[in-house]
This record gives sequence, structure tokens and C-alpha cells, in this order.
Amino acid sequence: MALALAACGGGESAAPAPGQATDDANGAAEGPSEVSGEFDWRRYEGETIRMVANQHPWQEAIQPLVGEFTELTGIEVEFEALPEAQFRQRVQVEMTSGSEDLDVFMTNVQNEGATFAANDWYADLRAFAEDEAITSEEYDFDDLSPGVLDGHSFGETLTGIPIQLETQMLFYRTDIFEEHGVEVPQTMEDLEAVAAEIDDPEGTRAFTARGRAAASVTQISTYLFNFGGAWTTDDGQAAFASPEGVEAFDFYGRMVREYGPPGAVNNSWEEALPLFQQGEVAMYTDASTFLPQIIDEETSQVADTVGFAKMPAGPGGEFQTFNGWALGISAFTQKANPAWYFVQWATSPEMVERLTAEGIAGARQSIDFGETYPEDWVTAFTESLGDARAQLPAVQPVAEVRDAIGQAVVESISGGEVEPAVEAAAQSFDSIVASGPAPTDD
Amino acid sequence: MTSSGTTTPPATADRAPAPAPRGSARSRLAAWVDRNIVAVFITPAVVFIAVMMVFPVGFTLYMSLHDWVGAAGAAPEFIGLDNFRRAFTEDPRFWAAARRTFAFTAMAVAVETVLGVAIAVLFNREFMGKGLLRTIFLFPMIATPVAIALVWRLMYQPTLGVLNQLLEFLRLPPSLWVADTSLVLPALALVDIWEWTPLITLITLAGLSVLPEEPFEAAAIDGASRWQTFWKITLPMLRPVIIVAVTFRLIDALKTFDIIFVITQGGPGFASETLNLYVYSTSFQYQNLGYAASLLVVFFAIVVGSAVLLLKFRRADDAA
Repeated sequence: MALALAACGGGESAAPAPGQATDDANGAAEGPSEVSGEFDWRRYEGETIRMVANQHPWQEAIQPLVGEFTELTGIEVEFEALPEAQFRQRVQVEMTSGSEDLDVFMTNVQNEGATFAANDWYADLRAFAEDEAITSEEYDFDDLSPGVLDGHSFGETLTGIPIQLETQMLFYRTDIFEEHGVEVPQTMEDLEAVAAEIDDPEGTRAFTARGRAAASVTQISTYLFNFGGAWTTDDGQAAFASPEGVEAFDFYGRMVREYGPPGAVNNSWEEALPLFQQGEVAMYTDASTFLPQIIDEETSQVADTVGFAKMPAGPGGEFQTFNGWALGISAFTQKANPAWYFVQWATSPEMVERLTAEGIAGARQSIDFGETYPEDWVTAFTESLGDARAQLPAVQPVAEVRDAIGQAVVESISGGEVEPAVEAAAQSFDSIVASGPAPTDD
Repeated sequence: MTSSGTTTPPATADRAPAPAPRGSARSRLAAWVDRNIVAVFITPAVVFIAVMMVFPVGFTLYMSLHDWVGAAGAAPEFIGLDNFRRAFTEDPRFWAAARRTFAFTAMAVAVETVLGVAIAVLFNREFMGKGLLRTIFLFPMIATPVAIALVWRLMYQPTLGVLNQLLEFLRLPPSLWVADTSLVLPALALVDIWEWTPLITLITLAGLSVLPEEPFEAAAIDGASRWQTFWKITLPMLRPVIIVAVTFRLIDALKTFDIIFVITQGGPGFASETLNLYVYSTSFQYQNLGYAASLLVVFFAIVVGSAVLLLKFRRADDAA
């Protein structure tokens, strides 16, 4: 028995290539532990890492495959999957207490990234990916969309490798477009012209999008950027009350109010998506993730007559936006390198391809979507990914500023005075951010 | 406690020696219980109240004096009354929410009281099918609030909801209902009225059934009209009961959460955000625990203050 224990302990310390690798003396893994030599999948044989996941299609798809990772590397994975609310709480609590037990976790960077990064809870993954001793040649880091990686970075720190992504898209009805002889809108101006042309107040309305305050904020982002606005200045002050920003809010509100079904101010995607599925509206801008629900004939009456396109460009440029989940490594882990092996395996070109076949779109630009995805959806998605921007402002109190910004969206949709509403939202934004937790290190 | 302290010892002195001073464990326990009879009886209740009520309230008070953001991973920082200053001087959202809380409560409770009493008087008479009708009338109160709210949410839906179809049938223009910022509070109050009028009716009915006969007989002999009888006799005699019913409703209406959360989540925008919903966002979504606690303390004061005022009104009336 004593022998077995000794052997076990010896195995663990011997695993990182004798004489070459030691974990950081202080344990905190801001970056990878230093190792040299050839990349070797079995370098950390015998280690055990712990992964905490949100219950999510990605988790459902990858959890059964974790055995393959253990087979490849000899690293055991304790995989925990929790419902979203509990998941967030668990990660939060472990991070707050500086727990060394958590190695890898799922993270929705646009939501908690600013807070976690300000507290230095993320290890910087770029350092791992660029270290040839611990990253396989086949990993092809540059294939990950640079815009998306940018959206996952705070300062110099790359907080996560994206595992599932959605971009904002325009869903439209091909039959109605054909009937009216209109083309897919390329610009915001086109979008309104097409809406005016095809709108039928007694029948199918032309357009809808989310109107419920906080839920609409991710959705208005592309409009804001393409009209030439931005959420914040470089130093984190609200920047969306610029003339361009006001125009974007005004446009979004007008589109939803004038060309869509009434009552949109209470609609999130839960209400807006069914309107499109039931053929009540002809155009709808929302997350690419809804593809399965839209092309499923059981849930959608428009499954055969739907087209997909990138978000139209505007006077301020042509930007696309994304949101999504990533894998992060805890800054407190003692097993940063084995943890990186897991992240590397889960986001490798091969794994992303396999998951894509199951309907989970990753962040690699080289993805081959196969035949289950409609061609125009794939085009819109992949073209968007290249330089996609994050949808939410990178501030810590995200939930609170979303509520504040949402007020301006609601005001605009309701036909109120847009400019004062947007200005008031910007003011609340600044005061919320100012009174929020200061990004300190202690 | 002091009075029990002075009365118990003699009793103990009388009884304790009786069951064998060095008897079995059981008898010693009995003796001990006997000696401490007051403590034994009240301890469970005191412990229960301490754990379930005093601690949470005390902890809320403690938090209300601290700056504590759950997400930031920092310890609570003592800031005195700064949270309250912020609420009263810097937070328009708090004031707006407080106004809406009062507006919603006033609308709902006023209509519930008038309707509830009227229906109680009606049910106090004899007519065919009264029992059945009375039972049906109590249904809204028994149903699950969240389920009720979901049904109303569907009915209010502007495109597919039954209420706009009804308006259309009556050749009236459709309404946005809860999607209209100026209509949303009355529309939500309507749901509350539908759900809780029966409570006022129920309490008032109980009050009606114990009223003495004599004043009514006297009034009849004096030739009072029905309206006079109701206004000058029934209502004044019922007043204490009605005020109790209104107090119950007032406290509950101020604290309404379920129907508002399910139907509008405080929207459109903040148009139906009451204090309770604001505190919910502040604590559970923004993780601003210290500030939320201070809002709760203010909210608690408002609820208690309103109830006390109302009960004072009842006593003043009794005295008159």
C-alpha cells in the first residue's frame, strides 16, 4: 500500500519530463509553466484536472468524448456540468476564494469577462498557444478568428479560447422577397426600403427584432457599429450618445415600430423568434444560433422559404458582431499545462470539425460545415467571423448597463424622443461604471 | 422574565424535593424541567424567531451599511449611511420605482376594496345558486399566481391575445396593453384586482355574518331606505373589519412581485418596475448586495409605516 502511494506520488512529479519541467513555485498560473523540448501529448500522463461546465449543447456534445482525451494524454478529467445559474455561482465562489481545485471552466466573456479579468482570475492563453513545447503543430492558432480573439482579450490577456459562437444575422423570407421582386438588403438604407416595400399591416409584417430592454442591447450593437457609433471610448466612457449612435437607436426603433408587429418592447427572442417561425414577419435580425429552430419543419412554418444574410452595412462601415462561450484556465490552478492540453484538445481543428457536424459552430475560419447547414447561412456566418466585434460593452457591471441602455431602445421603439433618451442612458452608463467596483488587484 | 424569575423559585422549592432528590435520571430531568418551566416552553419559539427572523433582518441591516458587490470578490466595506444617501439623492430609478409601487398599490387596493365590499353585501343576501357562485368567485385567489400571470400575459399579447380580439369584436381600436408604458401599471393592477378582490369579499362576508340584528330592525321601523341603512349602519359597523382586510391587501400589494415579474419583468423599459423588482435586479442581477439591502430596509419601513398609518386610522375611528 505504501509502495503504491509512493509510486503514485512519484509518477505525478515525474510526469512533467524529468529535469525540465516544474510548476511555478508560487503556484499561480498567470501563464504556462516553463518547459522545453518537443511537444508531447503524453507529457502530463497521470495528472487529473477538473473542468466545470455550463449545461449547454457544447457540453452535451463534448462530455462523451472526454474519454478520448484521457486515452490520448493519460490525463484524467473530472467533468462537472451544472445549470447556468448554479454554474455561474460555482465558478464565482471558487474564484472568489482563490480555489486551486478548479482548472478549466466555461466562460461567457462578454458577460463576466471584465470582472474576472479585473480580478486577474484568467490565465493568459496566448502564452500557452505560442509555446511550442506545449502546443501541437497541428493546433493552427492563427485559424481562430482574430476579431473573436480580440473580443476575448482584456489588455494583453487572452481570457478564453472560443468553443461556441453566434453572430448576428438577417433572417428573411425568400418567397416574399421574390413576390415583391426585392433583393437582399446590403445596407441599412436598403433594409428600410425593402421593409417599406414588403410591409403588409393587415398580414405579414416586414421586420422585427428584440425590443425588451436588456435583451435588445446585444441586438442593437451591429446597428450601432454600422452607423459609425461605438459603446465606449478607449478609456471606457460611454460613447454611444454621439450623433451616429443616436441615429442608430432611432433607426432600430423606427424599424421595429413602423414595420413590425405591435408590442415589440416586451419581446425578447422567446417572443420574436416564434413570430418569424409562424410567418408573422418577413425579416428578423437575431443570433445565428437559431438556425435549427428556423429550419426545423416541426417548429417552423417557414422552414423551406427562409434565407440568411450578413447584417447590412451602414454609413459607418460594415461590422459584424458575435457572442459566445469560451474555455478559460483559472489563474489559481496548479496544473496550468495539463489544463491547457485539455483546452487545446477541445478546440483543435479536428474537434471543432466534429462538433460542427453536430450543430455547434466553433470559432475556426477553416470550418467545413458539410451539408446540414444551408449554404447562405454558412457564408453569412464565416464571412462575419473574420472581424466580428463583441456585442456587449467591456465593463464590469454588464447587467446594469444593459438595463440602462435598454431604456433608450424601448423609448425609441415606443416613438419617444430618441436623443434625450440615449443621452440619459449614456449618463447612467457612466455613473454605473464609475460607482462600480474599482479594478484593483488586492 | 424578571417576574417569572421571582415567581418560579417558590414553586421549585415546594416541588423539587418531592420526587426523590437523588432519583433516576428521568426524575431529575423532570425536576429540572419543572424548575425551568418558563424557559423550556419559550426556548423553541425564541430560537425559531432568532434564526428565522432576527438574524436575516439583522444581517440585512448590517449589509445596508456596507458597500459589498458580490461579484468583485472583495470583503464588505463599512460606509455608514452612504447607501441610503445614494438612494435618496442620486438614484432616480429608486424614486421612480417607489412612485410606481404606490401608484400600483393605490389603484389595486382602492378598486379591490370597493368591489370586494359590494360583492360581499351582494353575497350576504339570499338568492338562487348563491353557494355555487360564491365558490366560483373564490377561484382566482386559490389559483397559483405565476400560472395566472402567464395566462394574463397571453391575453394581453397585442397580436394574438384574446383581449384585442375582444376589442376588435366590439369595433374598438386595439390596445398595446402591457406594451404601452402608460397603460402597463393599470393593466397589471387589473390582474391584481381580479386575483385579490375575493379576499376582501371573504373577510367582509365574515364581518357581515356577525353583525347584530337590532340596529337593522330599528332602522326598518324608522323607515330608513336601503341606501341609508347601508351607508349609515352597515358600513360604519363593518369599518373595522374592512380596514383589517385593506391592511392585508395593502401590505401584499406593496410587495407584489410574481405577477409583475412574469408579465412584464418590470418593462417596457422600467415602466412597471416597482421597488420589489428593482431590489431583485440590484441584488440578484447586479450583485450589488449592500445597496440592495439598504433599499430593502427603506422598503420595509414603507410597508410597516403604511400598515401602521392605516391601523391608526382604524383606532382613531373607534375612539370617535
